Amino acid sequence: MRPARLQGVPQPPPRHASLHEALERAAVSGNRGLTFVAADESETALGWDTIRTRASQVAGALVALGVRPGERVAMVLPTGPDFMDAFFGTLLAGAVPVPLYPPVRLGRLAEYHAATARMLQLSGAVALLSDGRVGRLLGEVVRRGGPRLGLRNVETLRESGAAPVARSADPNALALVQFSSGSTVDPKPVALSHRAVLAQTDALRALLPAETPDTPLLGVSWLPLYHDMGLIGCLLSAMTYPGRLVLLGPEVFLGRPALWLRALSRHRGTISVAPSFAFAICTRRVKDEEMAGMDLSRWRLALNGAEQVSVDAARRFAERFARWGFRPASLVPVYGLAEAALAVTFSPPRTPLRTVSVDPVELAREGTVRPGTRALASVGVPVPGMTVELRDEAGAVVPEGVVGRIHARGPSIMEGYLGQPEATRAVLAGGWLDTGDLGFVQDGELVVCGRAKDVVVLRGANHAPQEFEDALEGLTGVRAGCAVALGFVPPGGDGEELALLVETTADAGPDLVDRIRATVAEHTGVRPHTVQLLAPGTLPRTSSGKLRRSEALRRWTTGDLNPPARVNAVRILGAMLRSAIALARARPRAHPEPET
Amino acid sequence: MATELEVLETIRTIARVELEMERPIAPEDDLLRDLALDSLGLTVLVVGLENRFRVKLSEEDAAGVQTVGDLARHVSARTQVTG
Repeated sequence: MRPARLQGVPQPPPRHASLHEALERAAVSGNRGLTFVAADESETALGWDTIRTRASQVAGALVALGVRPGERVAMVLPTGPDFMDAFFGTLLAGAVPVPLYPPVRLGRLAEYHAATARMLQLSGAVALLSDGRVGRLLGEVVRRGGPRLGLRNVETLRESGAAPVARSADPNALALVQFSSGSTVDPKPVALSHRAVLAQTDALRALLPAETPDTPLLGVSWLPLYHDMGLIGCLLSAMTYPGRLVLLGPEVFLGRPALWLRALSRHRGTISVAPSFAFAICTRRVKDEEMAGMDLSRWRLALNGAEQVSVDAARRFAERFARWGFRPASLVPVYGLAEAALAVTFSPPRTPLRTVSVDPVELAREGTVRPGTRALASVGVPVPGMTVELRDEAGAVVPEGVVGRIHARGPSIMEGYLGQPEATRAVLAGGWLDTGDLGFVQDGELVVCGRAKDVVVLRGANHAPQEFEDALEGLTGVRAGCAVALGFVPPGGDGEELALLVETTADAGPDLVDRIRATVAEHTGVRPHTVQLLAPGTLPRTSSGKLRRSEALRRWTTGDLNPPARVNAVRILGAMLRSAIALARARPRAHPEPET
Repeated sequence: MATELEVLETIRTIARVELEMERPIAPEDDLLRDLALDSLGLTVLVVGLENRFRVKLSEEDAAGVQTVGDLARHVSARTQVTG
């Protein structure tokens, strides 16, 4: 068997030395730029030249405030011109932007304050930029996070009248910090240099279809800008291209998903990317009358990534929207992660979606790929400049068709987690990033099939399992510290969902599952898909007593999650007898032949 | 101007049509505990109400809004202010 190693085509030569240079070049590119779409479909356009001018004004104000080159400046802003002012203004001040999550509407603020203050501290941000509306909620965050220059209104900065500034940056300097998860438990600040970000946007550009006078490329995105796919995949890709990008806020999309597809039609959009769940939401919630007169036939790249791709959801979307010209061949599953700046693999556009049908039990139990009922999408081949290897527990490259941990190497891999050398060493060695994801190589393409790291990815957002497990603390009927939270893709579902495996005590009561659901939703804003109650001692643990989440998921998948045998004299005797018999049987095959 | 009852009816419609919830919805239901709305569900609900009643709900108000009734009252009050 061939080793499971895939190599992308060579990295294209760099087009820019820094994001500053790319912005300067975009500013003189003519009428290209960003268009913002509001909930009532009214639009605001901002050319790259205007974006650059406004950014230099904000940069001037930041420098006047005392922001020094290389210092981090955090921002909590909705998708709109203010975000651009803050982000590019920070860059032109020679500082490093750190976009953070805005609060959830009607969500509980205590958790938000704690998580955001922690991210401010971890990133070492010297200021937090916001607008008047969101800013009112951030006082508590700033008090706890303690940035030297406090909370600043970006509009006030822009209009301060400070002399414009446009500092340049070294290609190897830190360009931006993006958090790979937004929880209080374990937020990881991913540090990316200008070189890494630009290597990613160069690689993505090489994958785009050629632009012709009658089919100009145009991107449409509703993805949050505090996340790699929206920030690097959409905004910075458009800026470095330089091209046109239509932006909707995530709220605009979630409130009325049809607005995404309508924007694609209205602007003759050719490229748009979204997590699997977004395609499912459109299939369910977009009404035919909302699509009247719409034309999706120019949408040539409908990239599907940021969470495990649901083959069913993708197919349902393609079938539903074929009526409005959507081409199934446009649906392209991709794979990536914040630590790689964004994309690791990309599948070539084709018909139909390439899938591998595997036996899920065999896959979980033996790590081998046998034909079965579970369809998994191929996520294609490495992007230019990227190499992918699948390795076993000992670090050896596995053969094709065998499950291994996905490792990636390339010029867009992060420098590390900012200020966290230990966490960095755990995932980066010799230029290789251990993604913590599981996959296998089949017919020269990568298939992602699970995760070895303790992360739950829901709707494209990463969560630490502890977030959910901690929410159960003190709940009557739950054995203290004996619950695991896992991400899994239910068969036929829309994408990854949350499962909780919970060991119970004698006073559990018949309503425990409901109480667990309510408590988790209340504390974390996520509704569990499945709550599985278990007898005490069922969950697998390490010898030191730590829960083994991925092992629990493996056993749950294979149906091998069983309560421990009760230890008493009769059982021990029985077990001894059985093992004695097994040993006797095994003797003639002291050197058993490997099974074929 | 929208009455609490009108807002309540809209909340029920959004829950049924957009959030695909089958359970009946009463004013005393807690948004998080009883309806188990997650961050996506809350966003859909708030944005749906904003679009329908042409108001902008500030995140600040979240502190006072716990139940369906609180939300209906709040949105209704907002429509009185903005006309």
